[in-house]
Amino acid sequence: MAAIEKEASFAGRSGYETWVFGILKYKILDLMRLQRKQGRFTPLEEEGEDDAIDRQFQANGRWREEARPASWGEPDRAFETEHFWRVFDACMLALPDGAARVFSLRELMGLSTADICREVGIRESNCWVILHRARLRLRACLEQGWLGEETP
Amino acid sequence: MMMCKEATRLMSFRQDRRLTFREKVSLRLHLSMCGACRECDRQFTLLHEAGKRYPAAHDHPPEGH
Repeated sequence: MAAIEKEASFAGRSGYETWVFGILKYKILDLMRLQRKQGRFTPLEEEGEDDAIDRQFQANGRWREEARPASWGEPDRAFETEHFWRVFDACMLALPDGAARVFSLRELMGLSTADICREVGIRESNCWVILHRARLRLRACLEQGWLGEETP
Repeated sequence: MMMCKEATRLMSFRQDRRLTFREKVSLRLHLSMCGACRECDRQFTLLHEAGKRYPAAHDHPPEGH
């Protein structure tokens, strides 16, 4: 609501969105700090040890045949389709909470991992590992949900 | 020889920090021989691009995170 009341002071929509994102960023950071204080921020333990990763690789570290990444075509065309963004949203929601928050702060809001970790109080190497897992989950989810539906 | 799983770690790290010289060389070597990992690398880059375009592509901020 506060965001809507302020809308009049913003000339263009993109300025407004940037402003809402700015607020959201601090809300996410606050939540993560609080959870960490209460000992509830444990993104590395949310999933069974490397579950998302194990589903994509064989024991020897090569891709499983069914998980081998396929071409997603031209990125610019993908971004223009509403379908891509619907699948992207669905895949974000399917991420474990901690991973989704770190990924949002890093990729949607553009914070550096150094900033995220300083603000939240986790080690930067943890951030990198969380992001690696989040990206592997997202790529598998997007490939299934997006390419899977688009091919006739 | 580095395997695909380890290669995806470096591809992901590369989106967040500078790789060391050694990491760069082994990733480049792996990518030169592995088409699946080259696709994965493109996908990680696309995720990064998607993140940058996310605010513009949405009328409202994401919910649930």
